[in-house]
Amino acid sequence: MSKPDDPSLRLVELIQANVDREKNSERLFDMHWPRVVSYFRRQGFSQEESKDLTQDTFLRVFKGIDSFRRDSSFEWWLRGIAESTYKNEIRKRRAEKRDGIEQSIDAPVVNGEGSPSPADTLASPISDSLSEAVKRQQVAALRAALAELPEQMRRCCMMRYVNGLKYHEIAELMGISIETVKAHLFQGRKRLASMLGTPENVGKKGGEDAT
Amino acid sequence: MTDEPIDPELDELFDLLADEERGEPSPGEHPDDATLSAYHARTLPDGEVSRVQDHLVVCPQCRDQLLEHARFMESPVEGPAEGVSSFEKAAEWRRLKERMEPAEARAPEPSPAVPMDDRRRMLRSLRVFKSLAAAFAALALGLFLRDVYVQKPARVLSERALSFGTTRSAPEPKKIQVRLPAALRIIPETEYPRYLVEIEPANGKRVQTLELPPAPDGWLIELVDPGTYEIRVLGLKDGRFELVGKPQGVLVVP
Repeated sequence: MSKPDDPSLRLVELIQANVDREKNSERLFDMHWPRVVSYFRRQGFSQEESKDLTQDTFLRVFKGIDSFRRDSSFEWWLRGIAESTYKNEIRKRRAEKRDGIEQSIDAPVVNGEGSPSPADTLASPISDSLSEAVKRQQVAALRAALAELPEQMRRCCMMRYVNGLKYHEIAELMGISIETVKAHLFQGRKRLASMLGTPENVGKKGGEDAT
Repeated sequence: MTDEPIDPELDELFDLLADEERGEPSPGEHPDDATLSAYHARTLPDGEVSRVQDHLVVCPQCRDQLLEHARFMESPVEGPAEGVSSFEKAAEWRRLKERMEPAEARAPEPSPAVPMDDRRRMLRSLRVFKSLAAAFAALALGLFLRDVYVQKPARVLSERALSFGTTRSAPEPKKIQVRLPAALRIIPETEYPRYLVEIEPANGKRVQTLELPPAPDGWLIELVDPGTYEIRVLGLKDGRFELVGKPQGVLVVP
């Protein structure tokens, strides 16, 4: 399902066929080494640590390359191995830390002498259940209104307002431009407001966050 | 006009919906790696695209996978990663090769099906064979070395020595010029158990790498083509090759 002219897959094919195995392995390494180092740098490792982890990643790559089935792109497979190397490293470091003094940050925060806060005691069970019912109804109406939107518009609205993604992340995930994302969101909010009967004003909503 | 309309009531409803969604169990079946990879490469059929996109709306794991992959693909491929030279990349490849080789070179366990006495006999004949092979190899190597170290330098007209020190703060070495037929004597000033000498032509041709043992007088290397070269010496330390002194330039003229 990957592109037929993918140069990495072509090299993998040659390596698996044992055609100039070492040279082609070196080419593959050359092509992707900076990418893997950058991946570990992005996870917060130092340059030296990143280079060591990149070594571990490529060691696993070349040990397992004969079993790579080429049904995904090589880059996808490589990133998967880098990710798993990263997780192993984190696990290893956590295990090392556990040998030292452990300070729990999950201990429950007690209010005063361990009593519940006044706000907790004041809430009435009757008003709670009423407002809960109203909220549930409103959310159901929003779900129904969202279902009326065109597919792409609905997905953009869900990703932005429910999942809290940024414009550029939505654009990347949906394979569309940032401008198209913004247009979908603008139209989506207008249509939802009109379907739900809420007031609407045109302003700079959401413009404060970086794309 | 793409500014989003301000609507606090709608925002509140979305917040409530987000709370509800957070409480819901994670979506069932994730698309497999091949599907997500093809989705990212935009090679998935339309029907499948729609299915993946619907899944992405509800699945934070797959969203993270795709966003991480997009960042991964944006990272440099040919260019160096944050101050890393191609030279460093080559050194990393050598280091990787060294880590791979011991595992590959490990001899397989002897077969338990072979009786012990037979195995001893086999090992003895193997040792005899190895000794004979070693004797032949030594003879061939002797003849070869005689050819390289005795005959070749005899027809070399100019020989220049290049010393490689350890101090990186030393002044930039000047490019030396030699005339063909020419030989360079490479002398490392620091002792290492093993060395690599790299000869990189300036015309972008292949870098030649020689792996060499320590030699008290250095090594004599013959240059046969005119052009500009960069010579680097690396020494093995703690399982890695490190640069010995600074790379030096050589201009070979006909």
